[in-house]
Amino acid sequence: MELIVSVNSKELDKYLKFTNSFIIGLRDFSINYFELDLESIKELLKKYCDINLFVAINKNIFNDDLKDLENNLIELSKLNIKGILFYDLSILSIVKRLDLKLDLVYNQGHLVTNYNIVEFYKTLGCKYAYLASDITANEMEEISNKVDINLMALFIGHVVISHSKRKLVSNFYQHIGKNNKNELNEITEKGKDNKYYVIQNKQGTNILTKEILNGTSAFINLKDKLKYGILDNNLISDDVFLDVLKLYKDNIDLNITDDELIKKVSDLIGDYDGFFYTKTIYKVK
Amino acid sequence: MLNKVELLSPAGDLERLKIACIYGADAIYFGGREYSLRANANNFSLEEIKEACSFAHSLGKRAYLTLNIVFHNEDIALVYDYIKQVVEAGIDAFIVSDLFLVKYIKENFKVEVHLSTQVSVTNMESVKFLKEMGVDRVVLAREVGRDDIKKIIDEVGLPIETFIHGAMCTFVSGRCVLSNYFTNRDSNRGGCAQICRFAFDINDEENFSMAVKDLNMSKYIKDMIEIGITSFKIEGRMRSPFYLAVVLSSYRRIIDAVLNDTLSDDLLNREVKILSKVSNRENSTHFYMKEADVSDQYYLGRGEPSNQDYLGIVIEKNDNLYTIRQRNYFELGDKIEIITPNMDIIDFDVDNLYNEKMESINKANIADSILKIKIDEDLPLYSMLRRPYL
Repeated sequence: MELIVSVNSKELDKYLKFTNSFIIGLRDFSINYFELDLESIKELLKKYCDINLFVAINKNIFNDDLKDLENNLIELSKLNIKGILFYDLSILSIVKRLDLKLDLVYNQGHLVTNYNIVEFYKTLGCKYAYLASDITANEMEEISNKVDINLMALFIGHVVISHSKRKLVSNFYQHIGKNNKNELNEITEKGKDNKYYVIQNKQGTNILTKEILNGTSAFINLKDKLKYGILDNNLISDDVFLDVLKLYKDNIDLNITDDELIKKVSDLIGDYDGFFYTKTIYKVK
Repeated sequence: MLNKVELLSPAGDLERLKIACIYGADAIYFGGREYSLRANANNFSLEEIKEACSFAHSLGKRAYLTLNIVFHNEDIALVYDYIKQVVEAGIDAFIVSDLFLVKYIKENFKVEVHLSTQVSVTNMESVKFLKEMGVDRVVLAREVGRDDIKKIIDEVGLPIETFIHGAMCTFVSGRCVLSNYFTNRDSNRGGCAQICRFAFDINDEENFSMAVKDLNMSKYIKDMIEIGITSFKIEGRMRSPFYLAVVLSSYRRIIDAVLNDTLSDDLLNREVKILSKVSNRENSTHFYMKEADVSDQYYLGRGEPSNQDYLGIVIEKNDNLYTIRQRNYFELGDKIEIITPNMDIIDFDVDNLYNEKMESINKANIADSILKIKIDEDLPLYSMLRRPYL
């Protein structure tokens, strides 16, 4: 498995000792990724000419976005982009219609949950698939066994668990007659200790786990099955994140054992392992 | 010349399906025991699906099965045989989320495939792509506004379905797994625990709510017909038969009046009033004419008193003696309304009341008890008694 970092700035030097594969968002077209506009992406690729750069375009696309989207895709196809992580079908449609030289990552978030849908998008020309964070490691392994495609999954990061087009936070503050200038907010479920992050920006409102996903055990089990493991630096301090990234790299290079990796990452970010080993309930009995 | 449009009703079980059919729906959608996004509704066995299709078809209505969970590996093995059996039961269309099923169904069966709102389709490029793939209809994302809907219809020409009434998701469909994380119940496989309706604190403030008002598009039906929407969808497979009857008959009257060019302000205002009363929640039009904003959310002290308007349903008739299954308290002397599948609303003073043994009683106070009432009207079966709305 190779490591991809979802970055929190355009300064990539800090990561380069450990990986040369990155994900960034495209300004005004991404949700929950660090965003750059097209010109800045071009500059980034000039500055770091040997990197594998994936660009995430994962907002819901509306009619008014289509022209800009098409222009951006045409420009991106002229760059040395490793792939486009896409959510909206319009991206797949435009790339096929214009026969653009862009490799596509099927990235419909929580919908990438089974081998048939991954196979289906492979037949439509997708080269990669980014698996949902709410399926188990066993399900990921089964998909890898059944579909010959480059798979990727998130192993480290705050997990995005919902997205709304509504401005839920500012609406609330407007209603109670107060100002709130925070982009990052924290909610707590009444009567419980469940805390989540809420980010509101121009694309709407997103809820993320406050705990950092630690998928290290799953990473160990899947490193021969998936092509890429994603580590997301957003909302994690650089000190902690770079330590974790180094440990992952050391493990891949066989410099530390699996047990050492698990222990050391756990010491840094805790043991929250999401749904890697927990199946969701289909029907309440 | 306006196109004929479809009024599409949910049904959580066979009784609701029959109510929906006779109260004005043109088509009914429902879930089977597997693969449906309302895993905890009663849902339909294969035998019931067959009966549902047969009943709907006998009245010239269409029947759609929701097959709209987001599949996990373990769900796949048995679905193909299930689809075959449902097709044999007579289904007219499947509503699906996973695109691999579109291909499979279109290659193997002569039934329609409608793409669920779970895929959150929001633009004409995507709809064109889906049309080429063989999708027969797209249920657009709830976030798509009026002008975008019109443009999609004008440019692509694929039948478009939109929600017109009922509860709304706060988050983009398919992009929310709050339920998974808060309760372990899989929101994309029918287990949504409606976390968006929970109470939270945010930062240093108490009582933050993410809940949104219900949708009520009654005032815009004429416009929605004029821009070319094909199907008008009511939300709520878990809703009561009474709710379905009231909501469907109101929208039926509005749609028919638009198509007959007889829609008046009086008629519209009356139906708007009825629709507001039955759902018992505040409502809005959300994204249709503008971006959803501060006015579309619930905040502190959301009121949702229990609705006791539904008094009973006619389950048998013998000349003018009607057998009623009681639902809520009423008594001699009450002024009530009777709604009928013929779309009539009849005023009635309760001047007689009997128990099942034809003994005279003063009040109906036992839920689900069987009562008898003499009424000098020719009421069809499934007529309903309610507290006055008008």
